[in-house]
Amino acid sequence: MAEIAAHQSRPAPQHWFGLAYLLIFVAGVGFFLLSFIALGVLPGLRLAETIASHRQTDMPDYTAAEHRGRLLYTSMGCALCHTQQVRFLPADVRRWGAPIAAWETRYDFPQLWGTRRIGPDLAREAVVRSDDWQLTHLYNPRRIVPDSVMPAFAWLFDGSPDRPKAGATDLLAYLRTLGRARQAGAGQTVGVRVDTAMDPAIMMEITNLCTAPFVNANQARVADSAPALGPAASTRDQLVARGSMLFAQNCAGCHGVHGDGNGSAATGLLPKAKNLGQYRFSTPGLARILWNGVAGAAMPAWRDFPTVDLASLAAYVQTLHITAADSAPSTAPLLARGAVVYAENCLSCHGAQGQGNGPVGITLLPRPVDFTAMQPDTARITKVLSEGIAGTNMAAWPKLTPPDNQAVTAFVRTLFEAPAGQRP
Amino acid sequence: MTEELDASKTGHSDGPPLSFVAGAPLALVETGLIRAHAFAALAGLIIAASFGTVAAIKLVQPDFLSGQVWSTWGSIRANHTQGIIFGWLSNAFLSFLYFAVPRLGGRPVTSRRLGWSLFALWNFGVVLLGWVLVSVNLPNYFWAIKPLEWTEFPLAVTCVTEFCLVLMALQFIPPLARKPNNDGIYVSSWYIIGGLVFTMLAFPVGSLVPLLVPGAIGAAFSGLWIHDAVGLYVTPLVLAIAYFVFPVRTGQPIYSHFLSMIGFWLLFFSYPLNGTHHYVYSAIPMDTQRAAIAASIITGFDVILVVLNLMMSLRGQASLVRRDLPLRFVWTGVVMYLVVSLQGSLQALMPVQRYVHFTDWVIGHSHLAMLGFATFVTLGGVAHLCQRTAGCRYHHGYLNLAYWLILGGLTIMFVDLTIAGLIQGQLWIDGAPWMESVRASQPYWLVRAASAVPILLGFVAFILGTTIRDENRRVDTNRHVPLLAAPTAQASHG
Repeated sequence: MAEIAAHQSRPAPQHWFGLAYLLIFVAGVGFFLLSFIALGVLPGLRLAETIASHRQTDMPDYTAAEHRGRLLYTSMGCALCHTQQVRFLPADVRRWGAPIAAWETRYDFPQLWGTRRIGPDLAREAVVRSDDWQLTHLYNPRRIVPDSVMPAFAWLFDGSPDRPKAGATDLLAYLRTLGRARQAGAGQTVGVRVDTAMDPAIMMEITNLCTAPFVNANQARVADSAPALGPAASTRDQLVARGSMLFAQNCAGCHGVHGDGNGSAATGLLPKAKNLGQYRFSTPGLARILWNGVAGAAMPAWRDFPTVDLASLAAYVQTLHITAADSAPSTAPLLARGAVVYAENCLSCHGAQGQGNGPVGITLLPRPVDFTAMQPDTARITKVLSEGIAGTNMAAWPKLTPPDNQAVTAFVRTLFEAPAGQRP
Repeated sequence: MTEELDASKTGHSDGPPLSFVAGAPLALVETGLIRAHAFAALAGLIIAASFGTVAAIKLVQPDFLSGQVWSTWGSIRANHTQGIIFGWLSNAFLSFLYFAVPRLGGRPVTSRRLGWSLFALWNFGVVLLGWVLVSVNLPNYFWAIKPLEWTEFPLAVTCVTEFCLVLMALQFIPPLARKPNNDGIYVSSWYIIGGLVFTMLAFPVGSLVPLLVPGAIGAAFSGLWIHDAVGLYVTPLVLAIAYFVFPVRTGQPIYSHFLSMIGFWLLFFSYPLNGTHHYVYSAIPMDTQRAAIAASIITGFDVILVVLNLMMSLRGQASLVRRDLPLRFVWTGVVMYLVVSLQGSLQALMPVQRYVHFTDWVIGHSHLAMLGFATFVTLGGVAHLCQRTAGCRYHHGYLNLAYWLILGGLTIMFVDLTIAGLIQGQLWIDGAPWMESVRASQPYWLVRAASAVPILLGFVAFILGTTIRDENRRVDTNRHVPLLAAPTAQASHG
């Protein structure tokens, strides 16, 4: 009892500085100011210094539309699931490029770094996807990415993804700014910020990663490189089975469950997704398309997929071709005539070997079809020659006479480099 | 509306027990305001928890309730977190303060009229206005959701909130701080005074500065408020409840005055310095990050001391803790305080951050803090005051049911989200395609959504337990305090 009583305070004479004031001014005000200065003002001054040291880098402020888009982005809570903060960690840098530097957030009031990542980081989203992909995805993400859990923002559209209202266009304009300055080359001269307090091993790894120019694994690009999807440990049946699952998860949104190009995203995309049943694909050709995407169209790249998954997808896509009924004649005189027609009409874009690399073709996006990688069915060629392909530079070609038409169709089909063992 | 003064219990001449422990108020208690805020709190709890449930369902069925801006995930989530802190916890704190402050300070709160103005302003000008503005979603600087954690409500609401925080300080600090105060200033009062003053300053800084300074600099200040909201607003008031309820329900003193002091001062010193641990590996200077991580570890040790002090105050009371529901709620919350704080210190470490940051692990952690620690203790506080306030109701059976339902639901959710977070973190480090982590999360998100069922039912049971059965007419304040002259909590004089 006595011990406990000793803890008790008696009504004491008035102190000049009582406990109440201590609580208010030390615990409440003092420790607040301490944290405010130590963790807010002091690092803030250093950050302001690094921002100021990048004044010379060319970084435009947001335009009015971009600013409206940003406000929409924040008010709809996009930042609750999408960070805009590539951390100083190799895993982040591999996926999204150089870590976010303070100067990149110069015009961000408030910051959108975020604390939870349900969807991917968007700090460098500007160039990763095409406009039609973004709009269709905003309209309803599950049309393009079947397993997505992102909300649909259909009220920003006038009934369909190809009719965005002002809100959707503003939002798209804002997405186009994300990482824009970095992609335009700003910050390259200065390199990655060196923070001496950073773990040197991590810092070294990041610096190494940042020496090469960064391209997002899903960003389509014009390139011929691709990994060899050669014979794998798995049998073809195993590849097709896995490919079928991967196709449903990743491709069916645009290309349709059966690969007929009528996926739920079809209405919003221009050019439309290909009807995979109308082509014969070579494995290296598919590897190139999957690895690099189709720049200028909504088809992203899939460089984040392991090679075996790409091989599985390629194997599955090849099974989609409806092989039965292509019995169009291809006699030698017909092909000779076709070659002449091709040279006159098609070569400047599609190239002498049909690789889509003619002198005009290499200036176009999307690039003209590479006939060595994919062989369209006769019916498909006939349809394209009469209608063109909307959303690309392939126009309708009405000036060909029917025999020329037939000849060039037969000729184009001979350009295909069938996989060894599959040649007729 | 108000209880009568009981002058016979004010004596404090011979090192006597603190008078609030005896249960009878020394001063006028605004029971009307206690009841009003308690009902507002429970309404806020069930509404905010329902928002959270909708957000959880949307991760499983994204098209559930979709198509309009008011029900989009971002709006629902903002309404969930802000509803929990402003609608539920703040109202419950206010209710508790109206109950406890006159007992702790021996004086009535500053003004009844101020109290009702604050009630109206808080519930209509902050909670309701916030929910409505978030739902209407005007993309306008002043009226739109702010993308700042724990202060998502629009700027317009932020202004009202800050005004209310000032009113709160005016309402509750003077009766506790003014002299002479026969009981001295008890631990609970320290936490109340410190928490209210700190929040009054930290909230506007965390809400406004990030809007005024460029991104990375703003993030440094956002980080402060993310932590201060939980660490310097919710935690002190929740600990005030724990330090109040333990000695009152057991009739035993707090174990050590020294530990109370160390715990308090270390908390107010180290918690505010934790903020930057929300932005580890960011562009904020690494020295600042390391300082915040060091502070986070100190905080963990501080919590060990605080919990030790509280637990030692319950020595020999195991059967009472089992029997006595308000005490059991608070005890459980205190246990989870230890768990969640040690988890917090652990996850602030850089190697752990590398792995779990941005994942559902952190969501599990925040639910353990806000639902496990804060809500359990606060529910205990509300149960305590419901039992002992005229015009309130208290039903043991329903509250017992509520306890087990909420505890079960929370356990499922916490374990589930923690595992989900580990899986997500591993897939991200492995460089798997992004959607792999979403697909891998689906079963866990389903379980998490399902865990809302027991939790919501538990809240309903709690509401039933405080609304059915007869009103307390004359409050038997000594029901659980067999020894009026028992040794009791200590206070230090101020």
